[in-house]
Amino acid sequence: MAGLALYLHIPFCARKCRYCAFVSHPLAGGGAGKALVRDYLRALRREINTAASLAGRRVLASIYFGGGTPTLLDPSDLVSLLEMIREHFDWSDEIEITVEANPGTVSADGLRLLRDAGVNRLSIGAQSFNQEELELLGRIHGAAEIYSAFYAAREAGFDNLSLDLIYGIPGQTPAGWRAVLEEAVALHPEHLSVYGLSLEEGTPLAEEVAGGRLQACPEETQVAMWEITGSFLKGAGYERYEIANFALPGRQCRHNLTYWLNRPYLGIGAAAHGYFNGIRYANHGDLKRYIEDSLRGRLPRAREEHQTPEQERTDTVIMGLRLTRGLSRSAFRRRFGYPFEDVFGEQLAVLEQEGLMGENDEFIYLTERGRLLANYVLAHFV
Amino acid sequence: MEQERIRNFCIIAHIDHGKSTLADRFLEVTGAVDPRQMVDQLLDQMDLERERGITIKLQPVRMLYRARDGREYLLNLIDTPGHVDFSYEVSRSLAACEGAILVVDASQGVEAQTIANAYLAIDAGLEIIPVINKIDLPVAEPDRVAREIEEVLGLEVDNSLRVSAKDGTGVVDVLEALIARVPPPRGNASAPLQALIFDSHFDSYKGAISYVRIFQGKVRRGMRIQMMSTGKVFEVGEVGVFTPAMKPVEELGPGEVGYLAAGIKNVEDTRVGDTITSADSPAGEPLPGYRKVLPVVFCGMYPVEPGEYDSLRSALGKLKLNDAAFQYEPETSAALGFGFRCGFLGLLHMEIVQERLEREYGLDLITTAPNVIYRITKRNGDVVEVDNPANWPDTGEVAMVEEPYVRATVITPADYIGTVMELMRERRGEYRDMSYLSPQRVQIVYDLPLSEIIFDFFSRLKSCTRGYASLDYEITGFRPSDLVKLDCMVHGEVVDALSVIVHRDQAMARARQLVEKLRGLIPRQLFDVPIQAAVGSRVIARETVKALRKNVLEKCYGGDVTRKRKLLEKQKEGKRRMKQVGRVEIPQEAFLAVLRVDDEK
Repeated sequence: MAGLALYLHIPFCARKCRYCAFVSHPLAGGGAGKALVRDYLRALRREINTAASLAGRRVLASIYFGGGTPTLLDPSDLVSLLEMIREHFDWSDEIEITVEANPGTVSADGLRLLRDAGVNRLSIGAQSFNQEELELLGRIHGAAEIYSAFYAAREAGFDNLSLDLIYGIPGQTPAGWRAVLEEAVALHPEHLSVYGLSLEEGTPLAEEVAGGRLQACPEETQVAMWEITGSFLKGAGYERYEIANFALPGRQCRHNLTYWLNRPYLGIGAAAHGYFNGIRYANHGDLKRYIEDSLRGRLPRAREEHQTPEQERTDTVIMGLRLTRGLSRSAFRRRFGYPFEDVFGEQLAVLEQEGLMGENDEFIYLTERGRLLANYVLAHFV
Repeated sequence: MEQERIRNFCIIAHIDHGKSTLADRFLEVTGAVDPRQMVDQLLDQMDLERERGITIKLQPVRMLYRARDGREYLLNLIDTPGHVDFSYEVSRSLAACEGAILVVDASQGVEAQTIANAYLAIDAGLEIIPVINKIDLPVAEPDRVAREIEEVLGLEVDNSLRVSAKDGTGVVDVLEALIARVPPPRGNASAPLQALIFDSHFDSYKGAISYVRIFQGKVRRGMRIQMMSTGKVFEVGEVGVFTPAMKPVEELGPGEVGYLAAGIKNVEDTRVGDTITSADSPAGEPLPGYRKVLPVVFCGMYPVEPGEYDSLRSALGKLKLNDAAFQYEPETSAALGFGFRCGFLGLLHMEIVQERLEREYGLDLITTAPNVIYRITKRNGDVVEVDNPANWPDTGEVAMVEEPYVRATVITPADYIGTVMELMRERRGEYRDMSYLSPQRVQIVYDLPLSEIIFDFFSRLKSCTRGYASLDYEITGFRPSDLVKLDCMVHGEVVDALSVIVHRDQAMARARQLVEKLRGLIPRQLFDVPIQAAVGSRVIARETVKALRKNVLEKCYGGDVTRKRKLLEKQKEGKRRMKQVGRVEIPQEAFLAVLRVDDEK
């Protein structure tokens, strides 16, 4: 049986980025902030305890510290969380342990501590190398901090690094975006996650665009950037293995593959999502509520959804088709007991006709055009 | 109850002058309704009526009232609607009564509907009792309003009939005046039965229920009755009265108001306005019926799901039973498939029917833009009436087009004369007359096309007079007009349901607004979609819905699969509510865009 994935959410940030709509709390300086972090870590430990006793002793194939900014915590806190996880779970020999690291919040010593504790992958939130763009996004760092974080990581012994990049920033040109990609590739990361900026309602950036003070990146330009991304990274040896993810051979993110293959994972921490024992759940996003519930020994869940076979099928399809290789026919058949075409043959035929999907003996997949229109395509399978 | 002590009456008023509130007080004073069960607007049974604060259906009620003379009287109140769309319902109520209470707001004074309804009642020969309501308002001017009623309507106002339906002041005096002044019904109990059907509704157990006013003779359970217009015979299963709940009684005699159920299954067999008589000893003559009401506004109604066509048909049938003025017949649209062309008394009526179909029958509908009926004389001399732009003859065949005109009466504070006249000119109005009701209030009369008045005229009038103007209109007949059909093509295909008839001078502006509006409403497809508006074969406006190039959720918090699924479900749900026309999906709202192009001006 394949190992389980574990996600831990660290909801703190130095300050909130101007495009971010995720659950994260800018950490106040001084005692109040420290007290909140301390309480949160206690709640996290408590939840790991509770979850572990329900899950039983399982083999973990991946652990992922996401945020927020996990590296805002004292590295020793992350290390002790890992130690605690180790007490409750077995680790697979090949375990992948990722920490999201933001430039400006990491030190060489801290990274070494993490590496020694077993962390073997860092996902570095670079987003851009262009100073103006970084400021527009409200990042706390400049290009220099990305370089120093990256080199410090290499220095500390990390041989599996990923960079997050954002394109389609207001004012960005295709040429400017290409320059960002060039700088990223020059660092030789093993992995790249590339996202188009989405203007989420309620964020300062979206409001400036709505108010006319900023011009959103036109769709045509975004499409051009998407295409540049694919061809440039391919030339540099990176394969687009998922809609927004690129890797050198053998360096795909195993933790994220869990999601795309619709396999179970535990989500721990405020606002974390999990999928375990046929139940999808989301924890309370409200920190106070999360801490209270967890410390009382309750699962701090805001909602739970028992998956029906149809939901499981839908999720398997809409997540699996995000992978470039596509959805495995044989895996589908093993999982649901009937072939993909029995339920979705008609949709597949129409979408193939439109040039949005393709198939071979083993896989059903999105074409390049289909990936750009993934929402349109995937809506046929819900 | 002996006939001497029966009073049949209705309440007529301009909208919002307090008719339903006064009716509520009558129910309380006479003890017809248990105070614990009392709710506002009790006689307005539809949710829609309460929500909108209007009366749509007339609702009869029987009350027993012990008067100051110590005797007990039987009062039958037949409620009436106040909106101009429903004035035909008023005339139906009037035919069943001997008297009418005319309610006038003590601050607003005489309004357009006050005059229109009062004249209807005068014409029907009713005893009219003017009542000045809302005297509790700080801005009440009962003396001024009393003068207005006397000067404008020529009705004498009894100074004791100044009331506040809200707090109950003077309500009993109104009932006393009713007994003193409204004559009891005449009619011979032993003559052959003559019962006027003034309304009906459909009950799934008892079949069609006819609301009747007995003019002579008696009707009881088990009796064989005959509908005088069709000759059809039924056996009465139940007779009863409205308390206001339906309560069976032994029999109904002359002057009484009640209902009868006779196992009538077919909508058409209990026509409002028809006379019911005894099958065994029929009356010689039917009662004078009502002027047949003709719908003036038409639109197409189509189920979003073609499979719901039968449900729509049966729902329309049931609504029709409760709504004599509503008409429908099957039609087919190249774009929308099978549906119905429906006729209404006005836009409010249309909206209400549409809302009831969606709420009470759970139907998902596509409604096309409403239009009036046009009369076209062809070059070969044929004259056709067209109630659907899709049936407009080819431009080459048209010799002359006529459209219905109305004479519109607006009453407004003198300050707004200029604004009202401006609005009238904008709507192709022709000035007819102007007169001062008082130094501050003016009555303005214009002739204008019906099509100009039914589309958002009333709301424009209200907004440009800060709510002070009131409107009444009557259809005067057809007049020639320079009208053309504006077609709309989506992705090269004419969408018949989007065609509209417009005045030639307005065609260009409307065409531009329309294509622009549609460009915003039609979702992007995987290819460019041209939208064109044309008169005949000449394209006069064009826009393009650019192809969708990128629609992908890239960043999304890794584990949150539910959010991804929900987003896709929403996208799919949006598609479900669209109509596939050729290769393009058109949302429901687009079909009403034609109507709403004026909104943004």
